[in-house]
Amino acid sequence: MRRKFATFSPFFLILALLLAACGGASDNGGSTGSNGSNGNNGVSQQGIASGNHYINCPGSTNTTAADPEKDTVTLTVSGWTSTPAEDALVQKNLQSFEASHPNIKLKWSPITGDYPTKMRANVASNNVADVFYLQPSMSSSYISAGKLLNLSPYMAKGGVKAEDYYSALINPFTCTSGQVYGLPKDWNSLGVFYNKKLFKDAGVTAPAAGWTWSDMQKDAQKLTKNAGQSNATYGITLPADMSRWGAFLLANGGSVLSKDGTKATFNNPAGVQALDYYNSFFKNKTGILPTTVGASYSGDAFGKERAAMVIEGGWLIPYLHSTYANTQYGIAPMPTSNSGKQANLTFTNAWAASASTKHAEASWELIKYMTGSTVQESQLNAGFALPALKSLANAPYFTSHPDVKVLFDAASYSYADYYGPQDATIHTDLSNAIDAVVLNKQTSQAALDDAATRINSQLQNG
Amino acid sequence: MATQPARPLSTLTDQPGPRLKPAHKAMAKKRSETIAAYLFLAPYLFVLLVFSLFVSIYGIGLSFFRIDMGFTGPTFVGFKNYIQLFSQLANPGLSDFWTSMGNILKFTVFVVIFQTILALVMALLLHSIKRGRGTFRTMFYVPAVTSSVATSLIFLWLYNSEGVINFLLSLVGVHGPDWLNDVFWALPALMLLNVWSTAAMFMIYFLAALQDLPTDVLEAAEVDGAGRFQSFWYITLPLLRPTIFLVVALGTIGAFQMFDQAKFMTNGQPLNSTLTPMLEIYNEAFLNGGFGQAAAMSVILFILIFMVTILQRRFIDTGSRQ
Repeated sequence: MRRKFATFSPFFLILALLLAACGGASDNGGSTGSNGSNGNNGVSQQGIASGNHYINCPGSTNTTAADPEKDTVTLTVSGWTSTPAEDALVQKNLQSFEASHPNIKLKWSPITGDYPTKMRANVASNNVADVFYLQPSMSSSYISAGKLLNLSPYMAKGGVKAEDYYSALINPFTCTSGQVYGLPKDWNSLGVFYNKKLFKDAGVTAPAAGWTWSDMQKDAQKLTKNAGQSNATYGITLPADMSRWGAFLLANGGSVLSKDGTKATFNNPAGVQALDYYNSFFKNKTGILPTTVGASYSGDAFGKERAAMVIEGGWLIPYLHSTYANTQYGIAPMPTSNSGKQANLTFTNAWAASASTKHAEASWELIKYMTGSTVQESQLNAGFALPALKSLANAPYFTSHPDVKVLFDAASYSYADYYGPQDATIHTDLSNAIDAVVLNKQTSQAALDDAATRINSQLQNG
Repeated sequence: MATQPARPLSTLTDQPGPRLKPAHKAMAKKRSETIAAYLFLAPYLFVLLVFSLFVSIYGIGLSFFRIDMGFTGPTFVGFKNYIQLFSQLANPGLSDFWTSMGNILKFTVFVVIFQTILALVMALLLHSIKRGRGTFRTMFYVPAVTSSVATSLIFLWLYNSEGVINFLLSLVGVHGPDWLNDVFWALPALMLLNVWSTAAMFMIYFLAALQDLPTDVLEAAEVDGAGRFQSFWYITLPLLRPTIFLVVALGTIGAFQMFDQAKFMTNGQPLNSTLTPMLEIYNEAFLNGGFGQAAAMSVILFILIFMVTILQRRFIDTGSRQ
């Protein structure tokens, strides 16, 4: 036995060395700022947003803006690409930035595949681009761990105000004290897409601004044909998805979390009523899950004319043009709830800079340009997404595209579809609750109570 | 054995040499052979140590910490991750991890039983035909060499509520369910796919074992008047015992670690009915940033697989241990 150990001892030695090496490496993770608001150290109010109660500010961050560098610098820029056309536009905008900023060179290296997971690996290995796209689901861990450049001092210096952007759009990228760590590059909201032909055939007037929850139910009733049969057309297709039902919850005066983000509040009467309403389409057989009619998602069921209405965002427009070009559709705003309130969800991404960038000022220049009105209007004109700047509310494009304007006008009554550090759990558990109800496994109250129990335990244990 | 660890490695070069060599010279030769063996093994040993042993030990260590890799540094929490998981047993229906454990137990029992039977039946059929064995073997083996993502995508279409399977069912007047979105049918649908795609690989194990069986015993049984079924039941099957153990053990380990189909086809839905422990571990680590908690789940899963394998060895492999 002793000889055996002696033979293997070199390997144990190597193993011990490896363990030691890795133990040392994992220490530099940074610390979470547990002390919520640590003031803004005299940064002009201009660069400060109203503040996000769900995200702790980092323990330490830059409070001043760096000066411009004299030498030529090169920035690495990262993000993802959804379509070749969109990538071409991003590259074109990056090139025009280089043309107007001769001493800043850019290296665009998009990440393919699962962006948050790959970025996480890059962060863990300290290999992050200078400037990159930030999703709301990423922002709380990145901001609280001090991984991002505080943009507030630069905004104050560069004359960019937080209120230039709609608050639901900038809010996911700020922390409790209102420091801004990312600027929204574009966004989308939800709208009710309706099939004009199916509406006409059924003799239903097209939905318009000011329509209500009960209008929607009645229309769905009239539009449903042959329910339950293989050739059925339904009034509406709704996914079991928190990112759709949330708009109904908020319109009914409910909320997902308490104001400080420590407790689930969606299982109160307003929430139960909102879920009962969502489920009424399934109960009355006037609405279906997209998969019930063999569609991959709601937009697919709508394009196949298996449903006359669908609740989706602006991303459905290019999809319909390329896949179901013959669909005659219109876009109506989300209906008003029985309490007279209207609500919508925003889906947005931001440009942010790494806290460890060696060229902070140049990074800021790029973010300022890419979130400025020239680039945002170019994206709007290409039909990719809505501009996050209030100043573009009357862009010429909206005159020729009133449907897109309907989506844009939701900005004033929208909320970010984002709920702090436990965002992933909250989305999954609430979507499961919706699924349980529409599949008739649980009542709205029971399903929401279960989800609240799960989410509360996650909020407490982190 | 304990004093000569390198003996099995050197049997290849262990030619019977001149007996009269001085003892220390033989020792030196043995030693240089041992060193050579380790040198040849070094690249693989290095990979094994770094990517298997080190990673496993690191993972066990991780389960005692609270850490979000890259974002927050490690905080030692002792057994808190485990305590938290086991305290969820009070209400397992509301716990993703224990829901996934329940799912995987059902999944494993079904898949292992049916894939072993299917593999054995296919192997027996192939073994008994004389012509075209190679062709059929290739055909049966195709699922095993096809990428699991590709088969997942194909089955996504087959299982579609208006897909091929439901069309065939409608021909015989059965209204098929929306397989992958039905809380009851989603897991069985994944089980069937798994049985189909893994049975082929285990068929090869059985086929190799069947071709290796001693013919004299079977002939003796025939002489004694045993029928085909009797000789299969009393002779072939007991002789296949080590292979059955191997297939069941490997099948169990594979089934417990099911991830790809659950991730690509259903993502654990509907209502967590296809959530597997591997998927839950992945979600906990990479979506929620709970690497310590995820590591604790992996350790629990490892212990479970380890115990099940030992139990199987006791019950199935009794014959070959003697």
